[in-house]
Amino acid sequence: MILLFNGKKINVEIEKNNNDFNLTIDNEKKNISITRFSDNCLLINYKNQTKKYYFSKSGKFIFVNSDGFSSKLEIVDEEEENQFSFDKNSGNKDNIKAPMPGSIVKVLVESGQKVSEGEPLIIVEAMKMETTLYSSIDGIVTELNVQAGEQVDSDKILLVVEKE
Amino acid sequence: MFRKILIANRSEIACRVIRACKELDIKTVAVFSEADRNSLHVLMADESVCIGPSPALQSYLNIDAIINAALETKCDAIHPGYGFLSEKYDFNKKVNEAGLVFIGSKPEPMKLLGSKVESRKTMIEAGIPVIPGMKGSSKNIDDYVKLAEEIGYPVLIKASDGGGGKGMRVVHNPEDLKPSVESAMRESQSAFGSDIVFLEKYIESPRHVEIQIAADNYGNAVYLFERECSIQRRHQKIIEETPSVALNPELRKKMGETAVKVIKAANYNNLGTVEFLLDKKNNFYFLEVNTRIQVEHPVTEMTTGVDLVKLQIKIAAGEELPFRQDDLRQNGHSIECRIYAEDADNNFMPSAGKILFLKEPVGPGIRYDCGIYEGFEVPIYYDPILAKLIVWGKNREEARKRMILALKDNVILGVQTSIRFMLDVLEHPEFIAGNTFTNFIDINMKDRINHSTNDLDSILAVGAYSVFNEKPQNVSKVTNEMPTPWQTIGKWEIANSSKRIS
Repeated sequence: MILLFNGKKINVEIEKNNNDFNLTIDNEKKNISITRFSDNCLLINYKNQTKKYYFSKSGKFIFVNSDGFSSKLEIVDEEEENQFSFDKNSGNKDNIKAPMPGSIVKVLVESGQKVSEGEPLIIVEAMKMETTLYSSIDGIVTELNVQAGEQVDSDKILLVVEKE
Repeated sequence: MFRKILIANRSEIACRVIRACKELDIKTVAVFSEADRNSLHVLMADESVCIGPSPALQSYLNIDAIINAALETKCDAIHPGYGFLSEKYDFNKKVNEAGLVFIGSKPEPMKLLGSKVESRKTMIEAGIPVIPGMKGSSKNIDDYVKLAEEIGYPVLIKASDGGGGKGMRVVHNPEDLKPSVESAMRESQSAFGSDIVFLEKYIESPRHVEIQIAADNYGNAVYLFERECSIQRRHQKIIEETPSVALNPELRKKMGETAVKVIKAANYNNLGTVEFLLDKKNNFYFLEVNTRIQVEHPVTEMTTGVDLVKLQIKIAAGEELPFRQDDLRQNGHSIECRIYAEDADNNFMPSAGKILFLKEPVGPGIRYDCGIYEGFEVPIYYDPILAKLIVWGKNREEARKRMILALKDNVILGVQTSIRFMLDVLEHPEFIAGNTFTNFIDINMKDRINHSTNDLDSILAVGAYSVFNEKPQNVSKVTNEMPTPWQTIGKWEIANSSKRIS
């Protein structure tokens, strides 16, 4: 499987081996021992140290916590990924999504409008904090799916900018 | 004493007030917006009333809806908590007019203290030290030069309509004064549409030190010592402690007595907090009075043994203060960390979502004032506070170490939290040394390292396990057979007295 951590894609393979697991991270075998401690807690033994890790999986996200350090992993859907990287690599399209669930304060552009890289497109508000979303490319607004006042989830594509 | 109280608030402070009411055998009514139907305060109260749609303006700030709810459920009093309507004169007045008791001060002192200009005037008359500066604004540069000379450099030029640091200039030398006033005017004009600026003394590296006061309806008033709240982000306190390392017994007494003078000057009668800026030479300046219970009230409770929320309710019910100044003592040291749903690595951006897992910290000297539970969806509409973690120790160092352990023991999965950031502050040499000034985060936290990759392999192992564990082919044979009682009994813990709500 491919896990996304801080924007970095990492290939992780896991298979059962008697009472433990074999783990390969980016093609390198790791000597990590995993013991289930409770519903949401594992004991990880690695480099002669045993530490408790709390975890919870929700959809494609895995939340992990240990000793005050929190991390969020994302399971990368490899098929979708290919599609996405095609769009992204060609640099022809920018799908603007909300960074968190919130409400649309203001839409600063219209459908069909020409925009340039770094131009503000939409202002989103959540928990009394406003965030401005910018275009990452020069192009034209080809899709506009929201209006001011609307509630949105973080998965929704709010707006699409495409190169001419 | 009251028979039934409506709590016009939400989250942890509503839960805190409900707990105090239960101890006083007072029935409670929670109010909630549509987004908060399943919030913890609603589950804890005896009754609950929906007061409107999710946006605060239509619910928690809706004065008529809240007063109607109190009348319909036959309450005798309303507790406003903090934030929302807690310091609104209009609300206070209307609650009184409806024949209900507002758990707080009389309306008039609240009105006076709510106005920066009026309260400053009153305090100057009462001989309370305020930050020296202009009484009004001026467009004449000579006025600035004269006053700056009088009060001494550095001075601060501030936009009258400003905020967020815009239109603000710190001036250290006389020759920089004129250009700074002019550029502040220009910046203020373009940012706020008004070029009105004024000058006041610039307090270098101040501490935020506030004094808890309590006054009853019979002219008795005491101070319950200080809280230092210098650790702030976006001008909001995030870590508070008492006692302050900056105060010695004489200064503490002087500030405490000044705070009592402040509330007597305003004719104030309930719990309140007098905020001061303290400079490096131990000069202190009046900032404002918070006419309500504070977020950080628990640290005072931990060190004085006084239950402030119960005291607040008793004063409102007409009881006399149960102690005099000489009866009050500070015992040990207490620290509070506000646990917010926010991303400290991304400009403290709020983080909404579902609480997938919650482990509350436990142990000697640890208190957790919580507004969430496992399965709770953190709404996007309100302040992202999840809980407050408070510790007590016999001295600052014990409290600090205890807080570090408790923060590590506090697991919240599903939303980003400020826990890691708090740990970095508490482990910083400047914090350990007690060098806590209001610019602490700007100065000491900007080069914060991201440690989260230290054990990336282990984190990935956990991630891989959680995916592997979910695949249907891994379901063991046992689950096809009759489940044992141990499997069907659900979540429980032996001898666990805390209530689990899920």
